[in-house]
Amino acid sequence: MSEPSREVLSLGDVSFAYKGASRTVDDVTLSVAAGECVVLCGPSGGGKTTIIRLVNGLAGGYYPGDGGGEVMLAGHPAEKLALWERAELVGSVFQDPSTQFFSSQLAGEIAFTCENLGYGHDRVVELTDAAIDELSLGPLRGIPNDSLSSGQKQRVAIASALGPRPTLMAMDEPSSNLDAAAADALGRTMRQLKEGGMAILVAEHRLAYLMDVADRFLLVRDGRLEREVTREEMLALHDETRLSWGLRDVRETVRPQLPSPGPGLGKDAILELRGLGVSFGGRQVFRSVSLVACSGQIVAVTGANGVGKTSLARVLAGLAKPSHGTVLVGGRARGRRELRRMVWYSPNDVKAEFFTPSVQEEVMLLVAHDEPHGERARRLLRELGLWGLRERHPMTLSGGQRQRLSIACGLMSERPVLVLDEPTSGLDAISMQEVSRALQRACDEGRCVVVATHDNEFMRRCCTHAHQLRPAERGDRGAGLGDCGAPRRA
Amino acid sequence: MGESDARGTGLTVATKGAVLLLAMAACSLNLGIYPMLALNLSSIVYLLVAREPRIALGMLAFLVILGPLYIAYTYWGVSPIIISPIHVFQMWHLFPVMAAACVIFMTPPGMISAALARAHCPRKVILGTLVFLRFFPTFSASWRLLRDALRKRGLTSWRQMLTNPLDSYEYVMVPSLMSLVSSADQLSASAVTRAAEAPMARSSYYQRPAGALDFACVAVACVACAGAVIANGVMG
Repeated sequence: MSEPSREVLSLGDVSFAYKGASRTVDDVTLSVAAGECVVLCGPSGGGKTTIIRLVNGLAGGYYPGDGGGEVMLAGHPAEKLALWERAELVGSVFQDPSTQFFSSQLAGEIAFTCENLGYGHDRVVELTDAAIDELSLGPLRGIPNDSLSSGQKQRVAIASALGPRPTLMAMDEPSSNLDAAAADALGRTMRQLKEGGMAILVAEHRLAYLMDVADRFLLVRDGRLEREVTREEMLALHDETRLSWGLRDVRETVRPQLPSPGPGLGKDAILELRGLGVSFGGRQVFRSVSLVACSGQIVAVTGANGVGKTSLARVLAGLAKPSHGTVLVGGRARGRRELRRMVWYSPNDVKAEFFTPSVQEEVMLLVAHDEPHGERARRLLRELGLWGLRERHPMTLSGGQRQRLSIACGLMSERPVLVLDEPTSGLDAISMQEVSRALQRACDEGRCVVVATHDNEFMRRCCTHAHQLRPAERGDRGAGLGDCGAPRRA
Repeated sequence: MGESDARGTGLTVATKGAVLLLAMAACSLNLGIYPMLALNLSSIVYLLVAREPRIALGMLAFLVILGPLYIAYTYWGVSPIIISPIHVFQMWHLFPVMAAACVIFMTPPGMISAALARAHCPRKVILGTLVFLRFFPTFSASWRLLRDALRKRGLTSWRQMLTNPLDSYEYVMVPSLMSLVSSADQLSASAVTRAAEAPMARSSYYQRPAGALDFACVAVACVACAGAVIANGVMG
């Protein structure tokens, strides 16, 4: 490869349609220079991921389709580069890092691209160790990749992309599985790469962590690049305009001060946890969690990645056994089998959630096929923006659409308690609002919702109470006695 | 280089492969009870040498149950109700092969791909091996998700399975296959963006020459297998 020019990437009037589908990207023109970070933002399904795929060669290469226009990478027309040649120029990072791992070892994973490119052993070692040092991953060398936290996995994925020292990094929603602290750390890593002269093109819904990194924001909607916004313009944007563009908050949303759902009994109490704890083997994840959730409340369970939010959600849903403590629903202690009948659980990863060939059949799976239920299903699908997709197979939906479908199934299930694990990860502002409204309506119908989340914007929008989960070392005896007063939204 | 990356680095892949081949050769000769017992106990020692103490402990516990069952069946004709005598016989005679295969299976994929690259295996074989090794953790994660989804919807109850067996079969098979296809698709896309199709010979981060322990291990394995075969002939 010759020396890269200042302009690392340029797309000129690029269009693309996947095979058998309508046009996803239409006349997109953009450029990214060395040491520049450009963010593709906008509502889900707008074409951001396809633009990233056009850059790394997946669209048109791995995913067949028809396209036009010109993609230039480091001064070379991309169409004349083989896909493996592009890999040397473009490092790719995907939403879920664990699905792109080929090795259970840190160094083996990071070296993978360099090994494929046939670099000599010494060069592979030098580049791999440099990437490990650059992202401070040395302490993780002895830990299998599958055992790392989401944030650590994402750093390993970035280091893997960094291996052959590409000139451009193409990232597709890299923060979708990260908590606020891990997203901030990701932002710092990207800043470090940018300062080292790397060009970064990132498609993202969460924008706050990118405000210190990004130079320009490109609004992508309906396959078109609608406008270009500078960082300053983005910060000055009115909330109404921002929401109409489908963008999440650009400032770090401060966690709302919500009352704790403390232990105690109230007349509307639906769910009660008494001294609940979970341990894996000899390791106590959390202990002594006590709280009461009442009809009409949306309780946020917060805490850093790995603190046990998902474990708590699975215990509440009767899918995991607590090490100690009791879960009461409707005032009675319930076994796991009863909990599975009374509590709906939507996991964060919904890829194995669906059993029928269409969205409409999926929401009707557990209910009687009569007119009232049919009407309710239609209303829910409209509320959650899924009505237009009702004939589609659930597995053909995007990640955000599947997440909303899982929530729709929960709302149809008529169970008194809904437990949702990170329901807004990967959702744009419009979808997040739709989910918030649907949950508020469920509460108005007298249900209680428990949400494991680190999304402060979502909490501010619809949660009424919050419980901070802490690791077992520090202990948590629960807050003081509370009662089930009227729900209070932030 | 990379010594501290993962466990299983005590022996080279070539050594582990040689031990597996020796075990397969010895076990194919239908050895008598004492030579086979000696080989089975040697397998436990081999697991410890290969730094797999937990598997060694598990296999020892398995042997403690399997041995009396095999003796009872061989000498007194006692056949257990649950496990068929054929399976007892198979497990007893394949015990060293299982132990040697476990050691290879627990080897970090990077070490295996490095060994295959040094042996000038075609790139497709190396990548196929890596994908095969990723299949098990990927499938187990998908299976956990699917099991949760089935249980929460009550689709695993006896009543559901007995009254709607075809639906139950579909509820398990379709999401499992879809999930695997989705995982395979994402892994393939990742491979494409990481130069998996590059035409040049694949290199490796790991480069570990055989040491004294490797030579000693292969020599001891040869002696153990040969000794068992000779002893079998003498005793027979």
